[in-house]
Amino acid sequence: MRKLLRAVRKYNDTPEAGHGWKRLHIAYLGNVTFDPLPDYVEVAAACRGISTRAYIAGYGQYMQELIADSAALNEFAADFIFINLDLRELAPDIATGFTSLDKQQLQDSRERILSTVRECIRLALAKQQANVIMANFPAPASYQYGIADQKQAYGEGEFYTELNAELRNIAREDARVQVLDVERLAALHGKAAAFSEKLYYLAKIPWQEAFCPLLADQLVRHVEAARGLVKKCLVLDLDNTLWGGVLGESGPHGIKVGHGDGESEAFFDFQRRIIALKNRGILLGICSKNNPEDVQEVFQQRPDMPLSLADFSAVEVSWNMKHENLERIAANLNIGLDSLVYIDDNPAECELIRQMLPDITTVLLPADPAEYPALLDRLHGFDKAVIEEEDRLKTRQYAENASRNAFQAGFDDLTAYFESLQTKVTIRLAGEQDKQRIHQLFAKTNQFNLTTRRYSIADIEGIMATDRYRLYVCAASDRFGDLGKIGVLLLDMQLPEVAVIDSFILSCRAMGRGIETAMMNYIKEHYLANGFLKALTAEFIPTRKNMPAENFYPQQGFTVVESGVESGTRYELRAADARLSDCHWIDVIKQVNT
Amino acid sequence: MNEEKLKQLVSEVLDIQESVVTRDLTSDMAETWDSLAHLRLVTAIEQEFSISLTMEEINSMTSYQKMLEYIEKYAAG
Repeated sequence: MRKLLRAVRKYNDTPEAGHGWKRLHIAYLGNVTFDPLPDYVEVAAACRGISTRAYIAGYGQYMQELIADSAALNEFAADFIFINLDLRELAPDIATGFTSLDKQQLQDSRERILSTVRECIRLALAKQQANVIMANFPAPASYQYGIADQKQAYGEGEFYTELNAELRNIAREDARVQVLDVERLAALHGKAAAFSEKLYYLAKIPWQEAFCPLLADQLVRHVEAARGLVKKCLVLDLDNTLWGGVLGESGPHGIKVGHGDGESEAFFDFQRRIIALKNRGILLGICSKNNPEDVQEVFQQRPDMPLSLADFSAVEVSWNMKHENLERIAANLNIGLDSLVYIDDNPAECELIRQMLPDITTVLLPADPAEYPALLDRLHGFDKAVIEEEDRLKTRQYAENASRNAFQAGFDDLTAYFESLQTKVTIRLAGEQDKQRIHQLFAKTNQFNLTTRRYSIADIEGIMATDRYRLYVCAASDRFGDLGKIGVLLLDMQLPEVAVIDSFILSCRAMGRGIETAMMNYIKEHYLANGFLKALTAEFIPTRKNMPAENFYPQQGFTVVESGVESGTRYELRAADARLSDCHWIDVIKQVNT
Repeated sequence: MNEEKLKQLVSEVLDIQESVVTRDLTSDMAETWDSLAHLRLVTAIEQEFSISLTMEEINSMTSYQKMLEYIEKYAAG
């Protein structure tokens, strides 16, 4: 571990380490000694390609540093503040004298703890731009009432359950606050092995070193989720992955999935767990060497399988090489290879994918299907900070896109196809209710993203709070269904008579059908045609993935002001030169609030 | 055998040359041997030799000689 840490530190000190937004600052505040946790976090983050720096506030100085506006903490400019409060320090009467207190006193004590927590979070949010990750309170491994705790009017177990439920409520009030579930992690690890009385007495270190990797892993999951470092699609093999046995040999009724024997039940449950990922907004794909007809047949003839073909946004069943099929899946879904996770039981296939397509996260299944679900739990990239209705709908929208594509094949003339889609678009200034989705779009959109500025929730709140910016959100629907909120456009109005397009983003599922043009027309109409501004300026900052948007501004009539610079190309459009571009097939619904 | 392992461990945790780790080494001789490093040493020793030291032993373990003594004591027991 120490050698590993030294190697990570050496790399993190180089200028190219985690250039830009992948270099993150994590501050640790609390009434415990955090060492050696920050070291483990640094290594765990490095394993995920994130370079981190740590600031550890003085022991027990969390309030002072927040209230006094500590220069060191401000200068550190934390992206994340991890707060861990230990009740042995914060409420010693609870920690060791639980049975001496009556219910009223216990509840008073709980309120005192919560008001400290609230104050701490409030100060952290107000003084810093950071996200707050608050550790919850692990219940002790044994209770002071012993086995009678369950029968008490207000037992210790109940106390901690209520305390943590209240903490959850506090976190729900602000998108920038996350709860790190130490209670669950400690239970997973075994509480006796997670905590150390000895280290606590000697140095106020609450955790045994052996527990730190798990804790660090969880902290990194929160960081990844908050920064949108997530995977978009899980692609699965079929034989011995979704069911036991080989379909081509055993036939649709011979494969193991469903009820009746343990193995079949394990595959059944694994399929249910995959549906749970789909409900989080993860797209599903199949990549299998099989006869397509056999696969169609098995999904039709085995209604006892939890998954149906409609759950998959991409299906590639053929005898082609698997890496070719995976490339096709990424292309069809319009996502990058590094957004894919591929799961297979065959080591040779996994090795092939690893060599041919190293950007894909390839996962080899363990020999026993009983262990498949635990494997899903260990994977990073499927954790989201919050799961919204949009996520649940998303997989359906991709399926609708598939029928749009099939439908498109029937048209020779693209305009006729666009007209037949009956696209309706609304463009309006963003409100509080759009914040989460806008953050997702900033965090996750790679292709139609002209500047790829990854604004955090705090940044977005800042933007919405000032007059300097106009933040627009665009939603769309068509004859196949609702696409949801798919576009964001941010105007910087700081200069007189000229507005700068700071960000222009369109989700890849809405690209290439004129919605981006409708958004641009809207801005031209509202800012240039009426003489409100003299000109618009914009820039295109190239990344590995946003080439599809490279020629957008020239297509919209912008002229190049400066190109070849490292930061990209700068464009301008004078009011006198502004013309609306044709996208007559899009119906822009008038909104009252703009 | 134990001594080899311990020497390596101490040199790694304290970030000092193995040649400096002798039976004469005490905590005030190595600048890197601060209170946190001390606990790292304890944790590493407990893990490596599958022993559990008492708080009193931890507090008095201020030299390489002491470390060896405690390891021998638990190994014998």
